[in-house]
Amino acid sequence: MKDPQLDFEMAVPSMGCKSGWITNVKEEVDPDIPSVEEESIEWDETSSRISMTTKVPTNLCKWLTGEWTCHKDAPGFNPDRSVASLVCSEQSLIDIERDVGDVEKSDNKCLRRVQVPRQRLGPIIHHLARIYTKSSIQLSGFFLYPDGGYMGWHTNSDAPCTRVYITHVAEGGKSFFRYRDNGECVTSWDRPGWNLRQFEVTKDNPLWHCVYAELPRLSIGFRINRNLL
Amino acid sequence: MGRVPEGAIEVGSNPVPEDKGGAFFEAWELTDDGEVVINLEKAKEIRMAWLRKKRDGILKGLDAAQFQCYCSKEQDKQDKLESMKQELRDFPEKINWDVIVSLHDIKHLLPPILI
Repeated sequence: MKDPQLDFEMAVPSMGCKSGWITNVKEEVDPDIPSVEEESIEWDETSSRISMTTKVPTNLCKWLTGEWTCHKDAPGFNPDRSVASLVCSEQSLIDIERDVGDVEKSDNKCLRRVQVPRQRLGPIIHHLARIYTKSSIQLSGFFLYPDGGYMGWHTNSDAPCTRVYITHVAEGGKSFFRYRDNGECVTSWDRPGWNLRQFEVTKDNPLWHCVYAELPRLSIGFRINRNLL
Repeated sequence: MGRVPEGAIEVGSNPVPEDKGGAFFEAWELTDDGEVVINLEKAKEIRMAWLRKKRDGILKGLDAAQFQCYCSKEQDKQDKLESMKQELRDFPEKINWDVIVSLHDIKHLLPPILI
């Protein structure tokens, strides 16, 4: 019998390729950005569906900084800005809803999966646990989007929980997280450095979202389940 | 073609879509209608057994570290490790079973201390 573990970090890594692209990232703990509990996070942007901040605790960022090794590129890996732009367009979402309906996970993506050694995942989760208390925290995906990378529209409605994505880009305004709020597409552009976004995924009110990148974009996602006392 | 043992029922290749890998196979139950369902209480036991196994592995590592601190007479570190060990021993009491009502919920039970 397999271990009842969901996360891909348990899987045996395939042959990888080095991605040492992250540079100029602040690694020192900054006491001005303390690790606070969720209620005290200072958000830069909030809407009815999603919150975003660039004030990501530095003691969390430092564990995300450094060289990461990517899994081998998937067959057909072909980053292309025009394709990325089309896939993440509002028209694309309209077409998907009309032709397919709900999309729990998008197969329409162009990204690299990053390998996550357990000794690096542990501290990241433990720091997150100080923010998201009384919760189980599981890695949902660790990706490196290349220039021209994307993740098509989807809802994650198969896994209702709080979702947290921490991303890093060297320059702002060249990549985004786009979602639909009350029938309108909202584009949340990445800002330079670290960005943290949080939103709720429910079965009843799915959040359509997608990702576009025209520069390397590191993204690590977590499922937060509030199931502890 | 004789490959199904006598008395057995073919249930298809994916009888429990929410447990594709069969991690909770011991919690599968066949109903009178020939449908395979998950016994949630058994599934909880399976998850807890897996979590306890993880916990025991971590405890072993902490025991070794604590013994090293004992040999080097580092009382503060010994106390800190003891506190971590107690937290690990107590993890089952920290689970809010009231919100765990489906296999999906069971699969997503993973206290951070066990990572």
